[in-house]
Amino acid sequence: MNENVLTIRDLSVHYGTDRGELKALRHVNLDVPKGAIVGVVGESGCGKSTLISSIIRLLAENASIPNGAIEFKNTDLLKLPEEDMRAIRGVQMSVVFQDPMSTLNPVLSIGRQMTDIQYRDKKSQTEKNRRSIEMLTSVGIPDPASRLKQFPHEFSGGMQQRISIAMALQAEPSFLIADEPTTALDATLEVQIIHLLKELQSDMGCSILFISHHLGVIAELCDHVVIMYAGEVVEQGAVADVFHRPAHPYTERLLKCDPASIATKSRTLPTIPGEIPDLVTMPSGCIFKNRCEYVMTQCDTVVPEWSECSAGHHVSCHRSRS
Amino acid sequence: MNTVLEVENARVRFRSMSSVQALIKRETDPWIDAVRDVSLSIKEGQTFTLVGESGSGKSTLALAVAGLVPASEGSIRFRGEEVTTMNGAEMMAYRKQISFMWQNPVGSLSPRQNVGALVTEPYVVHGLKERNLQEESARLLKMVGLPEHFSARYPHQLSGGQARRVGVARALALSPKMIIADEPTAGLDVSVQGEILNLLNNLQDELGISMFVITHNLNIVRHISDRTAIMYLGRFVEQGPTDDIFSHPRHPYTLALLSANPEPDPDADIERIELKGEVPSLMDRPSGCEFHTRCPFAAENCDQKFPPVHTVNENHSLTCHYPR
Amino acid sequence: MARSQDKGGAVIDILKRIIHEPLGFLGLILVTLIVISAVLASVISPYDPIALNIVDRLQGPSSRHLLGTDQLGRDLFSRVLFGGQVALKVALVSISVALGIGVLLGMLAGFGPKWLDNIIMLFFDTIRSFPTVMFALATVALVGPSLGTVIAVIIVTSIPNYGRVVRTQTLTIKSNQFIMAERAMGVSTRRILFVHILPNVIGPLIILASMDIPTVIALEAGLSFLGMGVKPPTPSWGSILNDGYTLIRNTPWPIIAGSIPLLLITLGFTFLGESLRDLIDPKLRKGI
Repeated sequence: MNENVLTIRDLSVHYGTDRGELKALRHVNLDVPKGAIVGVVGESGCGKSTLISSIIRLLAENASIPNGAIEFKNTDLLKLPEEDMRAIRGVQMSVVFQDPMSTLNPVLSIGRQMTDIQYRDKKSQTEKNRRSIEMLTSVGIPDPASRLKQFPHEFSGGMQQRISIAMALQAEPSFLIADEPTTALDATLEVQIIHLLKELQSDMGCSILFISHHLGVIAELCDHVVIMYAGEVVEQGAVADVFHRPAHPYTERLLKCDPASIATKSRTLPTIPGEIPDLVTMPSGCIFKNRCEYVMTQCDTVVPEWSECSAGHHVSCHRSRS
Repeated sequence: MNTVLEVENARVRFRSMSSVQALIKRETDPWIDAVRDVSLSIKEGQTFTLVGESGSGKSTLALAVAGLVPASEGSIRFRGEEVTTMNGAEMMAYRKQISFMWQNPVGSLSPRQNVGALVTEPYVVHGLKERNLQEESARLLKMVGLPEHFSARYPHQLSGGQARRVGVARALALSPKMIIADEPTAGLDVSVQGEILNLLNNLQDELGISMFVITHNLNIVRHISDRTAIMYLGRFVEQGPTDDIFSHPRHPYTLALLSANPEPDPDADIERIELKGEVPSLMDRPSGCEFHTRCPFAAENCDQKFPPVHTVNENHSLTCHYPR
Repeated sequence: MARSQDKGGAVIDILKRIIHEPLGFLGLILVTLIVISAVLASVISPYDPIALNIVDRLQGPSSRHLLGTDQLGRDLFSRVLFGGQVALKVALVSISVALGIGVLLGMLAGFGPKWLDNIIMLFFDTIRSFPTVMFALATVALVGPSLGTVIAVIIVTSIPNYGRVVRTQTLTIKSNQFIMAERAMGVSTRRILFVHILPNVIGPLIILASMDIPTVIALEAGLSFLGMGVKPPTPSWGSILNDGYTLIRNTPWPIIAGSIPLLLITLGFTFLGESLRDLIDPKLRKGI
């Protein structure tokens, strides 16, 4: 257990809505080993953002956590007083968001924002400035000393994302959550950011939880991958295992769907027919049964168990057990 | 096959500052070229894809083709008629023959109109009110695979994929000759992406519509398009049959774009051509070959001379001093 | 997502939710009572509001005269009821006309070319630079007091309030992609304004207008109090108050009779407007 930076066990998160409880996350299990990059893949509505908000404990007001534990370095974050949680956020754990323009304050200079987030350190202004320059250099911003005076809009999208990464890593956190950090960027910049994250990760030895819907990026960057569907983690394992031997039918279809994996020109692309079930009026049995091509009788009534199908490769599907 | 759209040496400029500012700053050229010297042609029933990164001028070119922003030079002909000099009535008639699919599936639908009103609006606007709008709405929704009762829904009640289908239905309403699709898969999940592309492919096969697709998603290009052009800083750097471009990219930028695409295979060994730095500003175009600041193969005269057009064959051309 | 989709259903939905808020419920009751009594004034009022009866002058409340009589023996209760008619007429006519013109000018300023925007904004700023009451007094001094003058003054001074809100909203909506989509389809500017922009700006305006009603009623009462509004003998809450002011040494009842409905209608519309606003736009409640 001690090898994991983050361990999530049986976590459920519900939202109170006009129509009843919306079960956004249900019995989620997830491990982030020390020094590993774990990718989270899932389509819209699968609960990725709820997962992040529960880890940093900034859930919406109408959310409740009926069961589960989020263990960060062996302390359950859900039981921590708010004050202690604040001491963890930004120091031991920080987040890089999808859209850098909306995470940087448009009216403050980059330098000001970078020294502001060092408010916990009892260092002199010059030392803080030096630290900022050091961070900007490490994320590959040319001529950092003079760029500290500039404002966010004076940087291009790729540069802004580099700055957000620099700010997230300033306190040398042991755990970084990256929420689709390359989605807003073009392909050539996306590659640059991925390489940057990989380099920084090996330099600083931090663990990364990398959220993305881009299968190619996950394959290239991550060691482990977690597949989410409609509020559940349906599969988790080493990237090579999951991508080459997907154990869950959803993973299998998702990988087939990606047009990047279809080498020959095709006028008809594979899809996943059907829609995500309503998370308020939950269907019984397996969550994927209405779209699954291998559906069996027990899928209709019995919720599949989370089980290990090969070493380090977990799945929740009846097929893997029979 | 007939040519539907023909663009020759089109140029689209925007003012970078007001004329007073220009006078004060002694700027002799207060214009920036968003699109420069672009030529292309689209044949009936074919799909032309324009690939480029954000800010490369893709959308501006599409707007110029639709007559929504004026082209300052060159010619844009739609079925032989010059678009750049059309008057109001001609433009109205032209708008009936082309339609748009916009980048933002939900945001491009008027929020207080229901789906039924949205898909039949083209008839109302173009004075075809005598049609039974309810029947038309049902017909169009069926074509794009949505149930009839969706006509009572409002845009915010639709998922991205459903809103995209409504957009397609709207585009099909007037049986256009050409559809301009700006990032048709933006904001869609991978599984839904396939559905929309299949729908577009089927409709094209059935109705023989020409398509002008703008995208930065290279993965989808080879499955939908016949011809592809790569745009950089408002110019086409390479243009040719899609299969040729994908199998034998010649321009370094095309090479870099194609190799930048991460493959969903953890063991893939990608030989990557990494680009240095970032896209230069349109206001400050590099000298010589405009790509030389980022080109991994830049040689001595690349920053001096504008590269000549290199013709691979009659269909495939690029502008580079040292084609791969 | 499973909200009622037809517009009638939405109105009933909002009414249901207002009833569940104590202040909203109170406001709704007050407003309904006052509106009904004003509309039915000729039916329910026991006397002709302008019929003189010198014998019964300056009486206190009794079973014959619920609120007593004034210095000319007119029944105050009847005058209050008919005064309500005047107040509501002024409020409704002036606010709806101002709303109509304000929306039109605001949309033109927001959507039209820059020069048109500049001209319209100049017009708005000019009007707003006059204090409303001074402007009203000056106008009345020029053209003489009448109900029409009061309405006209209120219309002119309220147009900028609505116009500016509409302009800002239009500017925001204009940059949305759906407007470009409509233009590309060949939709005329008029259709864009009335079919695509108007429905998106009208919601907050209705709330703004409902909260303006008490202000306008108070303004009418104020002008009538000063003798600059409704001409006697037409009853108005303001003129009832003015009468009461001169008679304060003899009897307090005219003052009480004139101020109670003013107080109630102000409270009623304010409560109703605020709970409407909270319901329709919950963001405003917590906001600045």
